[in-house]
Amino acid sequence: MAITGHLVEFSLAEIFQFLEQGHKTGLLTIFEQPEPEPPRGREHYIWFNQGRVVAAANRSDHRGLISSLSQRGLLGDRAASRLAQSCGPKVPLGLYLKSQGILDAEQLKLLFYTQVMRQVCALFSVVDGWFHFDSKAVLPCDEMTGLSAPATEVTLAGLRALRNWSTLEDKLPDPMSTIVALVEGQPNLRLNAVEWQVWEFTGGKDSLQTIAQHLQLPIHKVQEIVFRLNVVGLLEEVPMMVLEAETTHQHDEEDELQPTSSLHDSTVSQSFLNNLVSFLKHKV
Amino acid sequence: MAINVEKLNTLLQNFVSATSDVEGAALVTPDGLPLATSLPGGMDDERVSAMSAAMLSLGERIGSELARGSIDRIYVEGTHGYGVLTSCAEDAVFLVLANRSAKLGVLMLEIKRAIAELKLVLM
Amino acid sequence: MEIMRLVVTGPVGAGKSTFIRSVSEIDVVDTDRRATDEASLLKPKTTVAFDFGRLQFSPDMALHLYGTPGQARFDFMWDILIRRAHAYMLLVAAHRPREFHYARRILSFMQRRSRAPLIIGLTHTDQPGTWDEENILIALGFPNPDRHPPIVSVDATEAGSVAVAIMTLLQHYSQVQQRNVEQPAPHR
Repeated sequence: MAITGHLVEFSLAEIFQFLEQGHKTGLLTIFEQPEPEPPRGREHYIWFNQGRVVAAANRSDHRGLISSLSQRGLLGDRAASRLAQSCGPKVPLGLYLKSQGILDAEQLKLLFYTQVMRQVCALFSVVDGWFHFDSKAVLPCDEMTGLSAPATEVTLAGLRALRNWSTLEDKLPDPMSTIVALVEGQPNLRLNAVEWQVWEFTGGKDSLQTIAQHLQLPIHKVQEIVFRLNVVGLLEEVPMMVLEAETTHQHDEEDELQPTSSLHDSTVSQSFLNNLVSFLKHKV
Repeated sequence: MAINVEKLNTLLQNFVSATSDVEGAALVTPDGLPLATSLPGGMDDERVSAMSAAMLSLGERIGSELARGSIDRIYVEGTHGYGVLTSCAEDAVFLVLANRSAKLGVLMLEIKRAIAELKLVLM
Repeated sequence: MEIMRLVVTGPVGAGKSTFIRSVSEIDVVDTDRRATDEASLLKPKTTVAFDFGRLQFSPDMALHLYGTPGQARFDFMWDILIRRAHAYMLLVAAHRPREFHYARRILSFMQRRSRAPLIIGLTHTDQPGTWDEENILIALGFPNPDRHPPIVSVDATEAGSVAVAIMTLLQHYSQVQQRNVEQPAPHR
């Protein structure tokens, strides 16, 4: 399976949400260029395994991790290359170096953080670019630390750092909407202070406008926070009217415990359906 | 020619403040986007505009299907007042919200006058 | 007279009005207005209240089809229409990923408002850049391949194709009804 598109059509946040929810494995390439055809501009690579980000690079020779190692003075270029060759075909290089006692767990974490978080977060600000996802690509053990992060965690960090929201403008939630939690209890992602404050309002009672007033934040800030908590699957935007209607609807059900709710008092008979289907068959 | 939105806004504001019992007014496009509004607090102008467009299009449809001819105005009378919708030139719909104590005859006359002024700016 | 009411919803330009026009036997009651918003980039006219089509297939039986406006500013119309629907269809243009996020929002609105059975109809599947069904389902929030509404490709300009889509919806409706009879749970 391969998907190609422009980032204006389908933003990086949506791609990440899609890859995570679909538990996708493969290579996502971001091209910093206005048209999909070559000549190619800068390319960025992000590898996914079962919807988690396992590696990232902005070079295609699979030597990103090795050069990062030598830059940090952890391992010389040549030594690293030699070790990489002795590392088994299906073992992430980072894990192998750890098993050899060359890296400790903390160093590995730091490497992963720089490689994935820092590189990928910067990509959220690429506006005029293309993406391509290839599910047949092989995961590059040489670029892998062995660590991984849920795509949503990267999205959260990337959108927090995003300054220019113009391309996401028409996807931002309506200021008159309310928000409702999609997860039970506490969110499983680490939220920052202001995200927590917004999260507290997921009772579906207050509009984004009211929330902004309460928190003394500009409305667009609240819209941005709601967008990113939505795209990582924590909450959803619901028009106020719908919730009002739901409350009255629930009252109906308490009043009369009949199998048919008042909204669907009429069900269509089987003979009606049969007649209609045979009528439609003549149209096909 | 570009529409003078500022002028429209001023006209609407003057209309709302100078006409007794009028609580709000909006000038919207036939597909439901606000051109200029002066509405009571808490009313969302996009929403009001969309409703005006839906109401007018349904009214016009009723007018033609039920052979009532072209529509001059549509109005909703509720326990708290009136909502009067009048078509204003080809590209705009004028909505006026008035409270219960409004005198309908006077209100219609005021709306007619306001529309004449608005049309000049829209031309 | 027995009447079944079906609602066709979805983003702007998915083909809702066309869908209804293709199959209705009466002149569709449309409430089109010249579009001045982003919709005008896709098409000259946009629905502002609803489209209404009808199929009278027996002296005392009729199918009523309602199409919703696409833009969220008309969500009061979504509300009015969906609450009386027996079943509904979400139409999505398969080649416009830009709208998947929004289609998901419409869906969440409808599902909160109505328990009526739903199917997904994909239009424009012959265009370049079309996503396949599996991936569109994920993008619409149905990542589990075993648990999603029925999905069907439809050419909204073709009466035959529209008829097939409606039959899929009817079949799904009938199955949900039977399930409800067997285990009368009030919830889906």
